[in-house]
Amino acid sequence: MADRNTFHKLLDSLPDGALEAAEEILRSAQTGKVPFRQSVQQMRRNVRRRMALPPPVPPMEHLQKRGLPMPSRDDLDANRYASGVAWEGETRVIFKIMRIHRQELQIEERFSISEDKSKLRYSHQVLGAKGKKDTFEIGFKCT
Amino acid sequence: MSSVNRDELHKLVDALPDQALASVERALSNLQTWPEIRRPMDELSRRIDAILAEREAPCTTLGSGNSRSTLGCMSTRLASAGVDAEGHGHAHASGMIRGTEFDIDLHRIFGQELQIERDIRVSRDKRNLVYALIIKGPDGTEARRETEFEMKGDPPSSANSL
Repeated sequence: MADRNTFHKLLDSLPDGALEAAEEILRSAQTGKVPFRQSVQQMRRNVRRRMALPPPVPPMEHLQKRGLPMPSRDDLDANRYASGVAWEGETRVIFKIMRIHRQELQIEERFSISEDKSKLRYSHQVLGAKGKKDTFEIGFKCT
Repeated sequence: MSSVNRDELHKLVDALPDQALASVERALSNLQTWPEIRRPMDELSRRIDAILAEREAPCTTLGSGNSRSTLGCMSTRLASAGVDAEGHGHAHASGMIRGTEFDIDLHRIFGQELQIERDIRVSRDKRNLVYALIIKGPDGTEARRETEFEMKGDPPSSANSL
């Protein structure tokens, strides 16, 4: 990780237009809001918690505008998803729970870049309702 | 001309908690090319619209956040886009067309773009959930993968329109 001198150099080389954005980031970091990152475990817990909540109800005005009836809670619950993003070191992790036709899939995707920045790595894991797991990994040349 | 004083920012750097250093370093590095941060997201949103148009998705926006609803043959669509302070962005759209759920993610990550599409449907014999994945990389190469998952219980009536 860079030492604080590197940060001072980064500040000195900032374009004037970016100073306000930098101030916002630095003040947020002091108060522990943004850009602190939640751990992958915390993020997965939050996603599961959101899926356990009753399904959010679509705004009535959208339905009325299209002449649609209010769907039942069962309908809303049959197809929905929740997702979250976190970092594990330099790897971006996305965790998503999808409920499609009442079947639950848990998907975890990982994105990382090689040290020489020439290759983007992507891995994908999906876990089905009955415990079957499929994993897949691929690398792409960076452009 | 900005009213923000650089000396004040240097003081804020000195007061940064250690656990924020990695994130702040990436964020400040990203700001060196101002005003580049927000632009990729507009591109991603436009691309999502183009993909949906290609699929001729008869979409009806019903929900927000993480909800959606399937009403008979009506499709629903959610589209969202966001970029973090470090410049990593993500645009998303999903919905259902004739019983097949589609889910599209466009990622802008480490300055590279990755498109991930999922089509999820119930198999003809209604025993499995078919999960098809297409990944398009920044170098133009494409990878496909299809997996079937045994279903638990019966699918709802919305899956019968295959």
